[in-house]
Amino acid sequence: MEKREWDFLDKDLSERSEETRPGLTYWADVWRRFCKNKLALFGLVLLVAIVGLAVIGPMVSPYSYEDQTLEMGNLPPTLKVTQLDENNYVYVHPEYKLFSVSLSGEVLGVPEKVRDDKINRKVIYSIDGKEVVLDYNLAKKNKNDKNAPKYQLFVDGEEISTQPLKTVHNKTYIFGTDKLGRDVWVRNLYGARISLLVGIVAALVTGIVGVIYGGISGYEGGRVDNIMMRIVDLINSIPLMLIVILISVVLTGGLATIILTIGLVYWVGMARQVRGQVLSLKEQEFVLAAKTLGASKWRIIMRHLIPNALGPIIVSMMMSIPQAIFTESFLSFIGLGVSAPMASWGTLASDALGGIRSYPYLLIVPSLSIALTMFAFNFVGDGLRDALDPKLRK
Amino acid sequence: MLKYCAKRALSMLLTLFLIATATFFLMRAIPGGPFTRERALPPEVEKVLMEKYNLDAPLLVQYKDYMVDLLHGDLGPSFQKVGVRVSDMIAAGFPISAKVGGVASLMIIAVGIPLGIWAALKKNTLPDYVVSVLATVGITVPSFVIGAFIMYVFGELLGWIPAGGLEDWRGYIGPVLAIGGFSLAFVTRLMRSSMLEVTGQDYIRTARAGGLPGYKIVFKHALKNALIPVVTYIGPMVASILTGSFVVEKIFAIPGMGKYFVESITNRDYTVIMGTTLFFAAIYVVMVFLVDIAYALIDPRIKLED
Repeated sequence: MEKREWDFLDKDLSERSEETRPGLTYWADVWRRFCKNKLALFGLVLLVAIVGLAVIGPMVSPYSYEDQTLEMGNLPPTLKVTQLDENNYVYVHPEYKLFSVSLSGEVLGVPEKVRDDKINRKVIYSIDGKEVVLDYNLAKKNKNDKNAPKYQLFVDGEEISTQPLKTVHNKTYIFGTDKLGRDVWVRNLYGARISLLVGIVAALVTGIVGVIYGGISGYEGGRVDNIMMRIVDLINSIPLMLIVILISVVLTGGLATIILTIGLVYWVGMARQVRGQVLSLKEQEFVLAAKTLGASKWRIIMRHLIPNALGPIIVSMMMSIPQAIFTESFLSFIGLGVSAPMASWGTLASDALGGIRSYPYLLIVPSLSIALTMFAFNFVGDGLRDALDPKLRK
Repeated sequence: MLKYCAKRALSMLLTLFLIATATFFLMRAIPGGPFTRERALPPEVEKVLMEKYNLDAPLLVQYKDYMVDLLHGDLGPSFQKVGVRVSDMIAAGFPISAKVGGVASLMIIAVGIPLGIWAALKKNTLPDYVVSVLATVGITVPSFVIGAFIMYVFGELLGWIPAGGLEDWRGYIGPVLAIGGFSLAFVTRLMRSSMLEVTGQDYIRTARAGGLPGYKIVFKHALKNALIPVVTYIGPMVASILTGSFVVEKIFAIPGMGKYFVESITNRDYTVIMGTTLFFAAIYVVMVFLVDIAYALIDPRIKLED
């Protein structure tokens, strides 16, 4: 060792060596790891977009989810425009009705109907003083041929081509209307509100009940734990659907009931998980230290044990949101969900199922919404799990 | 082994008894009874009906009577469908649901497990990504969406499968995919992650270092250990798939068991609720038992006795 090594360093040199990057807090670190995961980030963006649309969409839309316009029923998202004369264009609805439309795809309204001649299979309209006849006698003749024309159009007695001029997007109702003439898009956004609300609140209920129950059970141990876990086993062994259906029948339907029901049933898994975490954590020294300092049981559970188990708790709460949305849509599907005119994705899909042959778009919109939301929550949940506990990454 | 089975059989019976008790009192807690209608029945008629079905007795007496009948294997008559016994309903519906569910379970096992292994072995290559994306789709799309979609595209647009019913083999495609889609995706994902975990372990590296051929490592050494979590999931899954799904049966117009379950609860058909719940629970506990036996067969480290 040389003597100069014992000299003081230059002042700026010694200061530079103290330069370190600022320490990351746990959550900053989690966020950094989360951002590295492209798929999870994509899920988060998707989720923000969905929530944003659900919150803002119905506010800025000109339609409301419950306004019925019966004569505008079952309009599809794309319209085949047929030209009557220079100024008038119509859309011929598969139920043999005419709608006045513009060439760019705006629905202008229902033309004045003169007569509905059901015996001769004709509907007679008056458009701009001209008599327009929609004759659907061909429908019966060409019943078995899918591509054959089903109707003829006459303007002032002269037959005109029924070949559609062009196919345009419906500008008035982007995703069409349902059978009561309600805008599908607005109803879907409104359904998103209900479904997301159910999912998030149910996950919160699940989380709170599960954390408290599991925390107490795990910390107390012994006989208390035994009894509490046997109750969990019992609940677990009865089919979940039975309990869900039973509670929702007892509490007579409605939004609050659904949320409560789902929360009350799904806390079991959360309780198990928290108990497992607490069981292993409570043997550690910091709990002993807290006990020695005279901390109460409640304080030890809430301030020391739960925060240490927070990672897995957040992940399973995140994952229980899509599960709750799933259950809600299932309940709505079998008729135990929210009642009309309220809508959730489940009721929308269920209502659409009957008319799937003629109006598939009614089913596609809520189905895609559910699927996309599930995607988003799953991606975010997976990303969170990896970010919160890198050891778990697979 | 025999002693273990006898012990398990006892505990299975105890579980069923507890479930029967819990269900019995749970459903009696629902306001309204099987004969509550929008338009009230004349009191005399209601009284006769209540008497006929033993509903006028005190609750505990009814409970005792039901349990005694149950011990004799009698599930009682349906309250809503006159002259039909619950056992007849199950006998009519279950074979149909079980056929669809059996095919679905076979598909899940025969497709999901190999796909998962394949994806794990080809980790971070194109096949792995394709399988993972498909699995995520399967997990995120609800069964009624899959069902309706299959029905519309393949039934309506393309005309490849019949619109409903199970007359020929093509009728099975839709319901099997709808009822098994989620589980198929889940098993694939589970198999993949479990396989990845096992192949990362030291004994696999040792086997590889010892020069064993790849297929032998995978099928003889890795697969057995990797199967444990998959088997755990498959047991209860088979139970719930075999007993049918209300939603899928509704979409594809299948006269299976799933609908009894939902209908009976909304109709307050007490005996049918009890019957279907117990039937499901019985299959469930048997499946869990089979899973435990499968553990011991797959992994000799697991002893049945504890």
